[in-house]
Amino acid sequence: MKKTLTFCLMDPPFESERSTTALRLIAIAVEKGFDVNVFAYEGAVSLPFSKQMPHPNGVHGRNIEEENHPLPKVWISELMQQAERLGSTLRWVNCGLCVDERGAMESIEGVTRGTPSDLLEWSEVSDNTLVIGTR
Amino acid sequence: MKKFWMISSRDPFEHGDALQFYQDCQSLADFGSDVTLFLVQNGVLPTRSSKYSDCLETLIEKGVAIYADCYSLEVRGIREEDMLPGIQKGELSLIIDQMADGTKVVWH
Repeated sequence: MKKTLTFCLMDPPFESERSTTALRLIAIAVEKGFDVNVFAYEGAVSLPFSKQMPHPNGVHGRNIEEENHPLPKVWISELMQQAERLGSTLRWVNCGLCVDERGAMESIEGVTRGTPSDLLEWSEVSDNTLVIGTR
Repeated sequence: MKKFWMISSRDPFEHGDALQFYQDCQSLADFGSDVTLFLVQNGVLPTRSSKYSDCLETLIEKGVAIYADCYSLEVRGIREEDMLPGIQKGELSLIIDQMADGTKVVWH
């Protein structure tokens, strides 16, 4: 029976290395074929924000393409697609309260709105849960 | 025997509670638990010889296995020869494997 791992994230994009490490862990879990749940609250609800946009770098003279600015929404979308190709699931739930506070209603396709009760339920049925707290 | 993988993302130079986390690892080991300390992000900084070396060396003497994330070491320019003896380089995949096995994994 396929195992399920749950991750709980708090950090917003671009502010902390914790976001990068969290996505690295989630990517590994997806690559290994596990079903993965992600409950994002606080600033982490902006990780899959659909309005993220790349920009050029005028200081270094790079256009948008050359700058190749990384965007978490792209990584998350690609991980969801990879999970599907592997016959697994990557479920991403944004805490609705945190979404409302931050006005981060527009997320990429596949992200759903939920509540802390989703995290409770997932932690009870998952094989393991890792909470990556913020500073 | 209870098994714990303790993930330390903070360095003791900036965060005093990093030392407390090391102490938590030691306490768990003293109580007979199987403890592994996994250093990630700036948590890998004390893998180099420093005033905090004795904290990690004590853990190793207590039987705590210590890993340092390969990527975190690489981006910080810490080479294997710079690291304290007894600390192993490790991939994040080790954490995922432990989670799948049901090991209690704690992030700090």
